[in-house]
Amino acid sequence: MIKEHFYFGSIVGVSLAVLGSVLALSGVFDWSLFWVGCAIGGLTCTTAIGSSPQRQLVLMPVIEQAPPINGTRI
Amino acid sequence: MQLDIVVAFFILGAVAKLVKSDLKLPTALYQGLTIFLLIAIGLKGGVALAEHASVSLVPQSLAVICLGLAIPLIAFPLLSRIGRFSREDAASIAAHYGSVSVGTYAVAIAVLEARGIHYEPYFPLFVVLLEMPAIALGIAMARRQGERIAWRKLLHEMFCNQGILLMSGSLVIGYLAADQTPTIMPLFGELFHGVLALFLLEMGIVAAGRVADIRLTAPFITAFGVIMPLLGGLLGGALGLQLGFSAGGAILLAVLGASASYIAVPAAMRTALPEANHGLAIAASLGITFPFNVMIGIPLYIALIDLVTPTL
Repeated sequence: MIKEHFYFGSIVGVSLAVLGSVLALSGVFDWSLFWVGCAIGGLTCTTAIGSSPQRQLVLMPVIEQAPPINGTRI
Repeated sequence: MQLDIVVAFFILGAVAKLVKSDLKLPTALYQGLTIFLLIAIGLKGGVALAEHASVSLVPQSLAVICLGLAIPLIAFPLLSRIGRFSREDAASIAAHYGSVSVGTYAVAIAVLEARGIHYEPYFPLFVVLLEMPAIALGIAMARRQGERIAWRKLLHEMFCNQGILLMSGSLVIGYLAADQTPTIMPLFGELFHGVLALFLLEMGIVAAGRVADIRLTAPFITAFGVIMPLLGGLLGGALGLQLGFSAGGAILLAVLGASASYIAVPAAMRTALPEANHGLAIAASLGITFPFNVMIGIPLYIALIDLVTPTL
């Protein structure tokens, strides 16, 4: 995941969550904008974790130890 | 959250796609519904234009064109610098967001009428005007110095595509034959909401299917697809209030600023920028921005403009 995508997604997610909660608490609008912000923040974080080098390091030994399929290693 | 009845059909379509239902509208019916909506909106605007035509429309139209140019200028640096998209991809997506979605406009009209909010009835004129500037600017942003453009083919796509041709044609017909329109209005007036519900059912199916296309750049495109309509809506709403529109008119201009094209611009961009990734632009405008505007954006713009001008 590109670093800029992570920052942009995080900033937009947090900003919308804050704006959404301010609007909801002041009775101007419902909580939907807050949930959209949370969803964007959550999506950004899960994508970042899924594509992090640490996660790939954890998975690599598992893949290397996998039994060969039809004589071919993965 | 008060859910509009036509918007509920959009959600039904999206749910049908997500649960892998075999629900499918025939392509010809979808095309027929699109043609119906374009003619209905154009005719209504033409009749209103005949009643309200005045010199004040000229500065308003110029300001609306400037809005259509400002939005791609905001979107392009976001896409190219932060999104790291190629020049062509960034310009293509920016052009989609600078142009307007007739479907979103139709939903906004339905919501305003359901809530009894008055708006300037000649707004279809602005819908037509907002379709084109973003296309021209998008092409200019994508081209490097010395590159040649097939202007003849491009101008044909810009002015003769189905959306522009039908809406501007119906606008002119409505304007010239305003006194005869009651004879065809039972079809184009009274059936409008029912046809819009069917159109949104299909759009829900299509939008849910497009979400998968943005998997690789999901966090950025999702954030962009939500923040751009909010910025465009803010600009449009502020401009509408500055131009002296009624609260309903300011809401409609906010919706026009917030919406992203998925009919006229893709056709023009395919001709002008064949190297751009058009699937990405359509997925963002149809899979993210359209559902956001229909379900959250329109009620939000109404609430915010109500906050500024409590006359609704």
